[in-house]
This record gives sequence, structure tokens and C-alpha cells, in this order.
Amino acid sequence: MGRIAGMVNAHLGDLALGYIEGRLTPGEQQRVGAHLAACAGCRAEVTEMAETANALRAVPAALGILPWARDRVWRAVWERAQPRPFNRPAYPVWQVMCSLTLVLLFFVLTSLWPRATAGGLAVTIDGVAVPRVMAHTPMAFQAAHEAVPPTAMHTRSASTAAPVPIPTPLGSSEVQGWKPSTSGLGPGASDL
Amino acid sequence: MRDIDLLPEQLCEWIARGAQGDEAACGALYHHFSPALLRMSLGLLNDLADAEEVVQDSFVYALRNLARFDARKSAFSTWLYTIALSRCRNKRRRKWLASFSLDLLDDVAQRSTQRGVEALLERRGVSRRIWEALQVLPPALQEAVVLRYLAGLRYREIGEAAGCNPKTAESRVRLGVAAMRRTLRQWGVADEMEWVELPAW
Repeated sequence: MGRIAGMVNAHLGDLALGYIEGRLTPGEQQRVGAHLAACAGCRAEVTEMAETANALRAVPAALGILPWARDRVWRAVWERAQPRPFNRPAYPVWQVMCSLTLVLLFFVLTSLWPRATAGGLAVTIDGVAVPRVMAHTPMAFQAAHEAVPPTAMHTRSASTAAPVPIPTPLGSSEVQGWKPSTSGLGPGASDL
Repeated sequence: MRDIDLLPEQLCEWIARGAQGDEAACGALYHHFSPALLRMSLGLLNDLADAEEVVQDSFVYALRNLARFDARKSAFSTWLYTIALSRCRNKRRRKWLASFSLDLLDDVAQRSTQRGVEALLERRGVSRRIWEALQVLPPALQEAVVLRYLAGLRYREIGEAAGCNPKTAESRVRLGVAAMRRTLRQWGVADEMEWVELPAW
């Protein structure tokens, strides 16, 4: 069937339908007739197409007595087609509402923007500005410490600063009975 | 039903009076064009309730916009078919989406409608297999075949309503008829069909 179905497409194209429907010019009609006389495949397919087309053309007459509620549908159509009972306002309501919303949004954004840029987005840790979202992370402290010049190291907190030498009292090594600690626990710890 | 079945002066008068809100003229337009519109919708949707709804929606839109109809652009029937075809496409799309939801209950009513249409066709000597073969066509071919054979439009009018050129419309009709024939052959009913002699177009 596939081979035959392709035959009309290849040989006659839309002329086949025109031939079935009798829409061709006399010259075309004669040409198609001559081809059909010589080509059995096209002849079979055109015959089948004509049967199907004729069966389809019988459908409208059969559906002509459809039991549908034409008058009831007409009443519904007429009622729905009438203008609405209320008058449409002279100005388009939705456009006015959209404009007001845009103006309000503009004022809200312009009032919030300076606050956000002036410090709302950053915090200061040890004199260094750090993004607020990083304020409670170790990265914030690391970033702050890396940004401080070496001369300021001693002023930072004790936990991260370099060890500061503890000044010894003058002449303490000469105090009677005192020995320097060898355990690292502080002065006199080994003596306890 | 085509405009040609109606005197052009009569149609123009109905349209002019309908645009001014004359109920009798609008009713005349409705009663003249609604059966063909219903046939087309039924052929595309295969559901009488849906087809009635499409006819109703199409006429509501057409009557509200009657003053905007431009006879120089298209025939009145083509304008109506364009409106109805658009609604049929929307309805089919929504039905396709709804087929994944809880619409199984509606299937019972739809099947009974289909059986009703098929029984009606068989009582009038038309094989129900023709109707079934029409329903399994791809949408573009189905639209073309329905507009050609159920609504009786010319290829130029089919092209305007379906949004393609007349040659494409003609090719779609030819391919649609050929596809229906193949389907009928696969179902083993092609040889049972009788040749129905009808007057030429």
C-alpha cells in the first residue's frame, strides 16, 4: 500500500484530488485520464480516494438532523452577546493601578538605596570593612587581619597577635630564692 | 453552509442590522450559519457538548464584534470559521491537558456522545468507520478535511481559516483523504464501503 500511496504523490500530486472533485481544466482532465489509463497504481489509489471523499461528502447531510438544542443555545448566545449592564469607566483602571504601583515602588527603592550602600551591606571588624554576610565567618577575621599593616599587629587581640615579650622586673633574677622556670608553666611553677 | 447559499444583499443587511443590535438579524445569522459551524466543531472535537459550546462562544464573539467585520478582507462565513477553528484548537489543547487529570468520568459521557454520532451516521447510510478514521487524523490534516467536506469551504477559504495558502490547504486535504483510506484499509473495512454517487462540486 505504501508503494501505491506514494504513486499518486509522485505522479499526479494535487491533480488527483482535482480530478476526483472535477475541478480540473479540460486539458488537465484529459492528461490525468491518460495517465490513469496507463498507471494501475495511480488508478487504484485515485479510485480509493474517490470512495473516501464521497463517503466524507455524505457526512454533512447525515449530521443535518443532529439533535442539538439550537434554540436554547441561541438564547444563551444572545444574552451573553449583550453589552454589560455597567458602564465601563472612562479611564482604564488597570493602567492607572499599574502606574501607581510603579511610582510607589520607585519611592520605596530610592529611600532604601542610600541606607543599603552607606553601611547596611558591610560591617567593620578591627577597622576593616567586611561584607555583612561574612561577618560571622572565620574568613572575615582572616580577611581583616591580612588587610592590617604589620606595624599594627601588636594592637590586635591576644588570640591572634604575635607573642609579646613579658617585661621582667628589673633585678628580678637577683631575687633571693627565685629560679627561672624550665617547665614553661611560668615562674616558680616547678617549685609548687 | 456557504455565503453562496444566501443572497449577498440579504447577508449584508443582516450584518448591518446585527451590528446595530437587531436581535432578529443576529438570530437569522445564527440560524443560517450555526449548523455548519456545529458540524465542523463536532468533526474536530468529536463531542456534541463541546461542539455546542464552541458554536456558542464563536457566535458570542462574532455578534459582539460584528461592527468590526470587514467584508473586503474575507467572506463572513470564513470569518466565522476562523473564530470557531481557533476555539476548537483551544478546546482540544485543554482537553489534551485535562486527559492527564481526573477527567475519567467525562469519558463515559463522551463515549456515549460518540456512539450517538456514529449511530446517527449509520442510520443515514454512512459508515461509522469513516467518522472514526477522521478522528485519528493528525490535527492539521483533520482540520483541512473537516473544513473541506463537513463545512464545504473552498481551498482559498480553508487557507484563510487555517492560516495557510490555498495550495497547502489542497495538499493537506489530499494527504488527509489518502491517510484516511490507508487507515480504513488497515482496519479491513475499505472494501466494504460503497460508492456513494453525489453531485459534482
